[in-house]
Amino acid sequence: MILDFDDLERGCFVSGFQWLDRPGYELHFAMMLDDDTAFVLRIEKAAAIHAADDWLASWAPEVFGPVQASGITASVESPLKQLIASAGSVEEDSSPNLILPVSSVFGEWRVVSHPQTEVVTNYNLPVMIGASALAVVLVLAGVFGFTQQLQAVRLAEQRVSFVNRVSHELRTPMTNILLNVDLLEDSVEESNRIAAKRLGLVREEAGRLSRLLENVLCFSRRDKLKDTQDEPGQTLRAVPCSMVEMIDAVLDQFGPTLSRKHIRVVRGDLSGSDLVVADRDALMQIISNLISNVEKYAAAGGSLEFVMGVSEMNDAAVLSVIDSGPGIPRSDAAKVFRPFERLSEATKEGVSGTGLGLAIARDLAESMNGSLEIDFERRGEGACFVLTLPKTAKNIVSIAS
Amino acid sequence: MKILIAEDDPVSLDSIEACLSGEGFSTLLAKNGNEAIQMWEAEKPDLVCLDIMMPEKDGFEVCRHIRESDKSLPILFLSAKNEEIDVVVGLELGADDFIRKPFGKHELIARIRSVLRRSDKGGGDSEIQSFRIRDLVTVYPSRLCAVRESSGEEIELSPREISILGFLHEHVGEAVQRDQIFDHCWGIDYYPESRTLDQHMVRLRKRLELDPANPEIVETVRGVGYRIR
Repeated sequence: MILDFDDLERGCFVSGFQWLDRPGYELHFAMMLDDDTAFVLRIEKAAAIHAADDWLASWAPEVFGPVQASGITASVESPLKQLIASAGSVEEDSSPNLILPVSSVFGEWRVVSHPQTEVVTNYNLPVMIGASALAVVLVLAGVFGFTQQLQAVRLAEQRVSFVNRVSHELRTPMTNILLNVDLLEDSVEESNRIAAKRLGLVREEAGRLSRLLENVLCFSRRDKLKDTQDEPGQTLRAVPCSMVEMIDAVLDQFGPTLSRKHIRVVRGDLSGSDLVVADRDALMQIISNLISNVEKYAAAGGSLEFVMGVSEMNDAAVLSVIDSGPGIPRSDAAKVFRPFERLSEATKEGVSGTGLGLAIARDLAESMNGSLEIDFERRGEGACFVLTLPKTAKNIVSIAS
Repeated sequence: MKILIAEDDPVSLDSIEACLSGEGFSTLLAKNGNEAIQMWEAEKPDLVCLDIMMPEKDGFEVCRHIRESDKSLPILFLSAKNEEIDVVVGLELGADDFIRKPFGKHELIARIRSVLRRSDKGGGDSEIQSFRIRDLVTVYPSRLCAVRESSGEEIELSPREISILGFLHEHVGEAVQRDQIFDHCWGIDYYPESRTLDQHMVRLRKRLELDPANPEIVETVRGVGYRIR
């Protein structure tokens, strides 16, 4: 190994020895023995650091013992940033409050001390009591609110299922009433006008009750199905049927009521093709809900008109039901078909109803691939409901979809 | 025409029975599913009306039981619940139709008639031959109807009406006494009120005659009864 004499010279060996540490060279220790002779040691830096670390590691516990006992957290780091020894557990992210560097040509050993984390708790009794009381109140309020909510939901569910059950139960006595009114009518002599009239009224009311029942059940069912999408919908059996025939059948039921209210039935142009593919019961329910609407809102002495037509594509039959009532403002277009919604809630005296009829009628129409709309383009007074139903069979979807 | 009715509500059972027997159907009444099966085995009815919710065996079970050995017997379900109808339609029980409660007499009769027509049973008693009345109408007992000769229009008739027309036709030209008609068409045990027959005739004429006020097919013979000329 050749040493640059300048290096040796520059150090002048003032203290009789010199460390030679130049980048690119290994570490050397040189000592002048006399004017001509120099003693040079080549040192492996890493090995020296390791040796020092090992010695520190074996020595440190002895020193750190009392340190640890005093509750101080301290550690020694080697120049290679390794932790050699420690007293107490050092949290990695805690910043040290004291660093003692010990530097040498081999690098820097550091003795690091971390602040002692000590929780100081002041037990202030009044504050304590206040805070716990507040916490208890909050928890109780939460529990109370939750149980109230739960109870309300359960109660609502119970009510719905109760209404549902009762409505189902009503069907049997309703059937018995209808059958016996029919039987009674058969045995009342035609000459007995008073009995016939009263019976007619009983039949009308029974019919009204049946329709109401059907609407309530239809709606609660639809509602239930909207919650649970997996159930099959109300079974609709689409068969070819004549709209005019259905209108006549429904008008049979409503005839007495309409004539009592002096509502004139106008059979407009019914020559259009009236054959549609629909569920007969559902179609009858739609038409009877529409007529029931007219019966309620069209003024006494007014008229109710039916007009048949076809759609533009000629693939559907279109039935317009026109009344001479106050009509429906365009702004209420969406409202009319919303369940429980009734226009002019308070102003219409004597008008009864659940507010379900039109919502159900539209639902049923749509589930048979048809539609129910209000025609605002039509001139003249009164409302015009337009029922469109396909002429040919497509897949009939369940009422829930 | 024997119709078995299975219904656990006694008032419904009685009312349905009254409606059907009034139209001239004979009825078998069962209060539960087991009774229904026993009666079906013993009496072999032409049609079965089944309520669904019944004690012992429900309507579905009765229907399945019947279908195991009889595929063609017309079966009509009387249902109080939409859910039940889903099952009737969905389960391939082999029912011919269902009728939703609440229903009235006319709806019930119409549904029974249409089920009878669709089934291969035809309708009424197929042993009775069709007969013609004065070139005006032909009565088809098996199809429960009459056809007007002039227009081809079909007129629905109840078994009772067919029985009356048939009896009068047997005695064509004679004035048949009211009591005789009762005995033949209602049965000797039946004591009808005097106007029952007249009311039947009024209803029949409304449909059968072109001008019910001046009947051509069935004439009234004052003090005696009725006559087909």
